[in-house]
Amino acid sequence: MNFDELGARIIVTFGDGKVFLTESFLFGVIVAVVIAVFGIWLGSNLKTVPKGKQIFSELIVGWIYKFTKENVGTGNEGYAPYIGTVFAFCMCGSMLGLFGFRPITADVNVTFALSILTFLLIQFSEVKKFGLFGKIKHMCEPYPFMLPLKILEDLTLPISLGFRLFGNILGGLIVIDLWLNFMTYLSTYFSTVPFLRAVLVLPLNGFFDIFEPIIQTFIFTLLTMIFLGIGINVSKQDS
Amino acid sequence: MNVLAIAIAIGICMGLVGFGIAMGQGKSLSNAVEGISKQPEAAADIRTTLIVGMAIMETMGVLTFVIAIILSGKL
Repeated sequence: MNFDELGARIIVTFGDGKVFLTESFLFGVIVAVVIAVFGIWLGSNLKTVPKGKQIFSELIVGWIYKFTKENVGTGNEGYAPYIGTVFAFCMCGSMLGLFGFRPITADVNVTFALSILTFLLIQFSEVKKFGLFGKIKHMCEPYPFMLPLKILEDLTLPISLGFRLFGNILGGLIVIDLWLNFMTYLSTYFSTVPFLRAVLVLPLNGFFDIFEPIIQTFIFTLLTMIFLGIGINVSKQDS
Repeated sequence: MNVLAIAIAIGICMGLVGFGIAMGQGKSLSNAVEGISKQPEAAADIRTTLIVGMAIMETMGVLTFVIAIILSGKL
């Protein structure tokens, strides 16, 4: 595995190599399609009395809506579909390590795409709610000279969100890869087959490919909702 | 000489960030345990906040780790 670059491998190039598709693009599309098909299957054929798969889907949707309502505030449940989509995509993308692929969130492009989407969502919802001048007026409070600091505060949000997710997943990837290399080295003392790689990596997989993605996705969505809630609700009290 | 300086820098930054995170997480865990023992019915809330807070603290370590990886590419 190549760690010299912070992105993933390039698999398809067009023309003179300036236009290319990376591994994370391919797996991102696959994950998105799988989630979409699964979601459509879960949401199809709904009945008044829930049965079977409908109980599961109602559990998920209800939890996402409750989670959004607690953190963004009552009356803002309209953001729940976005939160749920980011949650599902980010978690499934980070768990790709279970299948032996490079997790797509271990690519700085994917995490920054997600965090810039969050940034745009927050800015647009503030502007939509209070208007451009209302937002600027709110940023000039309490003193107008604090405007650059407020702008800096807004701009650091996507950077910290993106690097947090990227670093955590990449760290887990590197630790698992180092462990696999070490096990290959150890098993050369016993036989030519690297048999020690087989089972001994499972605890690390459990931590870095199941526990860590859940926690990091939870934090990503929680911070998204908290900053969204600050942007929407605090401004309401002032104006 | 340059390689030596980079190697020392990587060691120092990872060591310092480990020290800081260990201090912060130890303090938060001790306070959380104290809170749970005083108020066992709030254990679930405290546990969630503790895990989220610890993961946010670990972010500092992770950012340093990314910098260390970028530096180690120059060795």
